[in-house]
Amino acid sequence: MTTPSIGERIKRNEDPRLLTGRALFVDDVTLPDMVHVAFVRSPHAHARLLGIDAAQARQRDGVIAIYTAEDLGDYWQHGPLLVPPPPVKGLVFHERTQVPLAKGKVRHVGEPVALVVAVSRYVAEDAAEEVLVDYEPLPAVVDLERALEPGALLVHEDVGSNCAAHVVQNKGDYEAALAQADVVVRRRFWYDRGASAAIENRGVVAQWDVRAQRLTVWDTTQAPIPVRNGLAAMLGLSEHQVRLVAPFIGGGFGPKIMMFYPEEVLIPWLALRLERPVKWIEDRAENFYATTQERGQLHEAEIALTRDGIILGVKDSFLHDTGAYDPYGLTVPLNSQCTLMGPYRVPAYASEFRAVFTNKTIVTPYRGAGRQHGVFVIERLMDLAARELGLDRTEIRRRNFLRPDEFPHDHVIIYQDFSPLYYDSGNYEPVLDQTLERIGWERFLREEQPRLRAEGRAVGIGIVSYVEGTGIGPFEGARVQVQTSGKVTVVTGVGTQGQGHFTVLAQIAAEQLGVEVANVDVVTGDSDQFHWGTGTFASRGAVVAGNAVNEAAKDVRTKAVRLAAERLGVAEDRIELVDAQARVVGEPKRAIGLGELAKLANPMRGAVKPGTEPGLEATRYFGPFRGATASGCHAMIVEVDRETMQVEIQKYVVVHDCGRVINPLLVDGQVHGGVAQGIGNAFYEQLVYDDSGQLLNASFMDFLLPTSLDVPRVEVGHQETVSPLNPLGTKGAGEAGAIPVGALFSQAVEDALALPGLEILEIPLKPSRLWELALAQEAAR
Amino acid sequence: MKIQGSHTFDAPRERVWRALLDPEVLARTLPGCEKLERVGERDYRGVLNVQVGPVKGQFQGTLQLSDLVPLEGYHMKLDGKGPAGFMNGQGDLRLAGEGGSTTLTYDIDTQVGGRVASVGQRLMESSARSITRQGLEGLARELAAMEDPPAPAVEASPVTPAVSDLPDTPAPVRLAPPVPQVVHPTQTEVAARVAADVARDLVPPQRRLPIIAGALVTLAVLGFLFVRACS
Repeated sequence: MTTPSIGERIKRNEDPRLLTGRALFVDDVTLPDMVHVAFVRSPHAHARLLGIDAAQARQRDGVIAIYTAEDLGDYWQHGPLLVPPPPVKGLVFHERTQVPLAKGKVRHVGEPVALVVAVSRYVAEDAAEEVLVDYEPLPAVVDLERALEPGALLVHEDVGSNCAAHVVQNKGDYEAALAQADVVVRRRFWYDRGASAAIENRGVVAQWDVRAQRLTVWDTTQAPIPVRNGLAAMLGLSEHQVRLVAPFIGGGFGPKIMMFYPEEVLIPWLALRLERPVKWIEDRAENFYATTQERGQLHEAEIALTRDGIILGVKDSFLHDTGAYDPYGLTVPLNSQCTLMGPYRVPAYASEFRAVFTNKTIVTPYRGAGRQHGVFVIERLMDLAARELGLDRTEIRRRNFLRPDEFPHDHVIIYQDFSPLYYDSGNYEPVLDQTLERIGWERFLREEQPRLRAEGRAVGIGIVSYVEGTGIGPFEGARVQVQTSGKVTVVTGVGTQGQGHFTVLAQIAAEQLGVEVANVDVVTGDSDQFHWGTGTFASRGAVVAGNAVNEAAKDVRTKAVRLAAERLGVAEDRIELVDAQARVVGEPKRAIGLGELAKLANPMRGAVKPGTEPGLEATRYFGPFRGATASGCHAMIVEVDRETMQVEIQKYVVVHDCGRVINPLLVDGQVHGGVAQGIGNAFYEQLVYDDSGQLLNASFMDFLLPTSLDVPRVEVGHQETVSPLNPLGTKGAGEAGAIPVGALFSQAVEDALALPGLEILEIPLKPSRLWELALAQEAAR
Repeated sequence: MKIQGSHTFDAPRERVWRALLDPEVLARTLPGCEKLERVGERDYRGVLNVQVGPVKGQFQGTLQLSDLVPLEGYHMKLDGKGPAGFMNGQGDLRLAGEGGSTTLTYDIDTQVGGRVASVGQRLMESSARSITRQGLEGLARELAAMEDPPAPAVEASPVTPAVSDLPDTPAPVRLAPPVPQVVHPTQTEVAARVAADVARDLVPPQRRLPIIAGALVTLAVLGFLFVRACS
């Protein structure tokens, strides 16, 4: 019997290759006659570019060419706007996208101004240091509020202000809700920037085959097909002349879906121009400036409630730091806006944001993509309201959870996929209960905390809820084919960044075709294998590509069953697919192998019925009507050392509902990784910019990532509330681990320190900042 | 970053003032200075080697002096750039004191960018303090060796413009002959001293002994293991 595959804890198909060093990454690509590129990048956050003198650098042995913006001719163009603004009434959006090499002005530290091609990276780097760039430094736009003051210096003079966008969305009548409220809680919240810090930096290798007239590009992208299409258009080639390979990716987390990075535009152009393979691999220092970042938002929010703790309305106005350019449109702030109502019944919501140009690295989605801010603001408001009303933290959440009979729930405002914000399904209270049970909530508060406090120890517990919009369109496609060996191949254009697509997509096909998961080979990230695709982002791989694989596998199943029924002389409904065979139900001896059927489906001689397609193969596309809303609860127990303000996480529990779980082992892995990144975001990682826009901690000496010592073992529970929006009933899970950690951390640390009046309204924290906050409370008393 | 402070030299004001206008003296005393030459009336151009933590770099730059008030002080503007980033600064040097003692007060506002700022940030203030201190010590050595009053000296160099006829510069800029007996630290020694000073800043005195002891014990254990592994 074939073991069932969907829902099983199956180990990853790709791991033997990854763990034994037999997987291809972009930096592994080495080609004969290959040349290397180093970029000359601005050390200034904001400066006029007066001139570039590369004469001395050109003299260096081994230098092949040096290019500035002027040398690019017509190829010098602004990058595309990836996501146009949604159809919201009165919306203002100023599109200012990045350029390949700066011209006239530089707008953030690390913006490339010139590039050097040389026989080796060493020579290229040395020559890059000899390129003399004449800058006239300008004061930098760094602070979000000051950036919008009249008379502020402008990042883009032609916009007329630093306001990149202004969006107002309303649900119900907040003013009326406010008038009825017994209690209003109003606070300012700050969420600062961090870096996604993927273990693999970005990289591009390009090769122009002059005889075949074909360009091959290896690129660390999460969106191989759109990059292929874009490059073909920019270079004046047909899409079939460009092969884009995104091999194994060492973590993407969102920044690798940004397109087009300057390097991504320039390396293929150089390969065509020089007719030699060209390679550029980002170094870690470049990664800190040149790879996109996220998270700077300043919120002024209020919540209006009855004295029973029932939410009447929420109002929020925030500033979103979009950095020097805004190529990704409004995805991040829209996610913040649309996540802020959380799992709660919010009858009235008045939300407004401004995106602000600053002289900092560009902001695009990074794991969570704005959802962190929404969850942080609403969860902190819930905590503060509970405190004000004398309610238990869990009770106020229970009272406001949407009930199962309220789905699908219409939140009225427009989401990042341009459709109204609908929650498709959910069941929040059992998730909360399971979390409380697993963390040992009652016992901790009743017994452990009082006992440990009596010993003088600062221990605390926290619990937060969240929702996560996942699995958005537009589409993905897949081709499923049974090989004559009986093995199955799944080909898709979605791309991968390490999540386990080679296993999850295999499980879906295996389930339909009755084969072992290990015998399903998944191919992705190669535009020559599949022509259409969008990319791996927004927790959508398993939902959108997964359902495309499911539909294609169903078609192959139908073909196999029909062919087997013909061959075995029984009705189609008597055929089952088991153990890589089609067999007659109840007569296991009457069977024919899938491989044999594949051969029969591709006859070498004779005739077939008109309209017959060859092969046991099918291609299908899937586009969900709208995104599916996953949900969950995180809880943790912490101990704070009052002297050093170091926080130790003693227990961490996640209960997660992403609809139908295809592989619990992989969802656990996604959650563990997300929590680790969330902990980093909450307590370790902060990109510190000074007033002149200089990034002050651009190395792993100063930008701290949590280590295995800082990340606790995470206990994960699952609940399955299936999504009605796709046949598999799945929702996304990739970002869930990272999203609510800041809110949880704040609550648990407040509980541990037990200082009356202490309110943590900012993330990231760090020991010194906790010390300051605690000291301010001590002083106030 | 602000570089502020004062230092008292055992030298009359006139001598300190003279030294502060002498590119050769400055070049010798400024730690890491490879070259400093006069290119205009009060404009200098030079090359400075700086190491801040792990970031080492050569900065090419200009130094402009203005608002000179003889024996009182001047305003300075510094612009330097190099592969490791850029350094700009502006501020005032002031002299005070009577007789054989002169107090130099400095107040310079600096902007630093590029790799030296983004990677060296944590060590920058300590490094700047160390470099400043070493510079002042070097200047003190120079002052002690300088003759007083100036001998009928040679002109500084052929390219030096005659500044004696400038109305607000009554004291002709004349240089004492090179003073070979003043030995300044090499660039390696400067870097080593910066590193030592930075370490001193980072580790509080009461922890130093345990850390050194711990390091020695670790080294001894490693050495023992190494010897044992080899035998």
